Amino acid sequence: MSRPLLALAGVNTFYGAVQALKNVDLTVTEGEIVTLIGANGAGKSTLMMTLCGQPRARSGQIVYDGEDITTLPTHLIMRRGIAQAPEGRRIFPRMSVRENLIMGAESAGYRDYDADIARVFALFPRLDERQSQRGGTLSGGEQQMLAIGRALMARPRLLLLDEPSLGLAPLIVRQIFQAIRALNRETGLTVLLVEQNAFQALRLAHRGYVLVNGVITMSGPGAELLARPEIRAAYLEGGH
Amino acid sequence: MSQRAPLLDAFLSALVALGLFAPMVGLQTTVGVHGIVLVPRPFAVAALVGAVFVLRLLVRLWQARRPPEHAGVGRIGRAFAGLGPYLVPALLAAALLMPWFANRATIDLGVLVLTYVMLGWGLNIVVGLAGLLDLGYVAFYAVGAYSYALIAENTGLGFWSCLPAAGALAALWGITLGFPVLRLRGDYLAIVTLAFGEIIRVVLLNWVSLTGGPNGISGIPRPTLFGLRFTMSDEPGTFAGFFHLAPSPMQRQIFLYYIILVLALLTNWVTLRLRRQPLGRVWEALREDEIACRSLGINITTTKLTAFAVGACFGGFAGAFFATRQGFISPESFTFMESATVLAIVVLGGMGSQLGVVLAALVMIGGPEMFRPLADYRMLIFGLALVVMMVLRPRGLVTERRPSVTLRRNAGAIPAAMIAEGRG
Repeated sequence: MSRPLLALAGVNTFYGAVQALKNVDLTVTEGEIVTLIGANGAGKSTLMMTLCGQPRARSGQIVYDGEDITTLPTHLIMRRGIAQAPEGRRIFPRMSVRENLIMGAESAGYRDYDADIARVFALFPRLDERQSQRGGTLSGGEQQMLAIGRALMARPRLLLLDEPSLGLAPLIVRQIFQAIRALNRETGLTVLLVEQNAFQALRLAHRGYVLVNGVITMSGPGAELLARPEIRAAYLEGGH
Repeated sequence: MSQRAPLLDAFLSALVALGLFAPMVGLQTTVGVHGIVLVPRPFAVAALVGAVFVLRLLVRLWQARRPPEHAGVGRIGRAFAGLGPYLVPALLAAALLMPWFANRATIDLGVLVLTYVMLGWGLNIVVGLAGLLDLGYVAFYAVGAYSYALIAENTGLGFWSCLPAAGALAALWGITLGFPVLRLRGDYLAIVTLAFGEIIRVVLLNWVSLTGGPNGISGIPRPTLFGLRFTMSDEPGTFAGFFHLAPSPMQRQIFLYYIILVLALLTNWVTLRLRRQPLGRVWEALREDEIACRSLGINITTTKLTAFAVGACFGGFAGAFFATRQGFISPESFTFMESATVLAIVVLGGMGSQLGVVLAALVMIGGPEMFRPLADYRMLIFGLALVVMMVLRPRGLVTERRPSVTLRRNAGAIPAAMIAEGRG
């Protein structure tokens, strides 16, 4: 296995006195889709935000591409080829789709972003149709596409996706996951995907981690995790 | 809607009116033989309550008759949109030509309105674009005014040499304010900036050795036109002398008018340019969603500080102009009321709208001056105007946000009514 693009070692994160992440170890290798699944409040989003330096890890180490980024300011972390589609999408509601995408080019320094926009539109044709429309008037699925597209504008090596399926219809979720898979296959983009939708996430990912109350309890290839009875019992029973 | 609903509604309105007017209008205090006595005025109350009942009934019936999609907001909005392309050139032409036709009082009023337009545009950068609620904008106005007055007093430099320094010092104070409030948002930010405005005023009031305290600074030099002074004589070195004109106070007035017009247009030009630059877009993004900005690798610290600095800089320019126009400044000119007025102009105009600021400044500053004979009813009219605004244009006079990037095809402004649904 090649050198990991991202490696968390013994990361502890606190909100005041409450410990949200306990001794978390996690690696993501270049070209992989890695998913982190867990129930509400398990600390999935905290892990993602700790990566970005907000809140900071109280102890432990986060290494990205051979560089220790544990104590870097957020905006510098995001300038090193990491891009995030944050939880709840957080697109700019009064700005047009195109303006939203241009904002994503900030960390890449706005270098000939027209080609990047064209790539995003090729991936999500729906956005192309709506590029003059305001972000706030898009449907939930389109907003998620916009959030991912905006993150891609930063030309990332590592894409962080925080619950892209949140509140979306199953059909739209499938479309978005297909787009993620296509991105990964065609451009070799590395993806760290945080999801509650364990079934779909594990089917998409090469490897998965299970987070329970701030502790990584299981990890392994996606298909292998999917087959485990305890995963089925905890996350998958009752449909999908 | 049933037939009885408007009647019931009007009845309830009348009931509220009765509650309000019974003590306020119904009881009149008059000075009697043994001190003040209360005289009841039942007929006045009855007339007012009856008027409210009838008016409310008429409003409800009018509302019931028109189809909902042709609501007042939309119609007025469309009327505005139709005027749009002509309104800006017309206003600009009027502003440029006004001094040639107007009398002295009108030019004075024009200078006042333009000062507030400039302040409004300056504050619009901070509040309208970057979304940082600043209740202490007057502090930068004061810093600009005192900077110019003190530098001119101590070095003998003129207005034009001191103007950049006044702007730079105000910008420096903008950054100074920006640092401690970087982490604050919304109400908390508003309170700290409010305090900052007061601190500056109190310092000016108490630092007597430097600022002259409550006595202020007088004899501030007037601006010159390429070294030509505006005085009441026609000796060499004066404007009148150089151009062989009869000296007149109007000349200086018109000159001041054009200075503030140029300064205000400069503010507008810079703002419009910045809006199309990454910096301006980042300000707007910051207003929309700070967390999203962080996730995009935007440096929140520098973004906020530049917004405060640029906004403060224009406040400083306006302050220097104020000092040179008045020839005298004291802390009394820089009270919270000024901040509130400028903020009201920005909000009334529709946050972030440049044209809105102009219209709002005309209404807020020009209105009370033009209707001076109605001074007794000013607050009444003001209250009525506020209610009408709330009903018809709750998001300000000009509420369309023009995208900073447009495509040839289907590009257009974004109507406010749709922005309301925004946060999804």
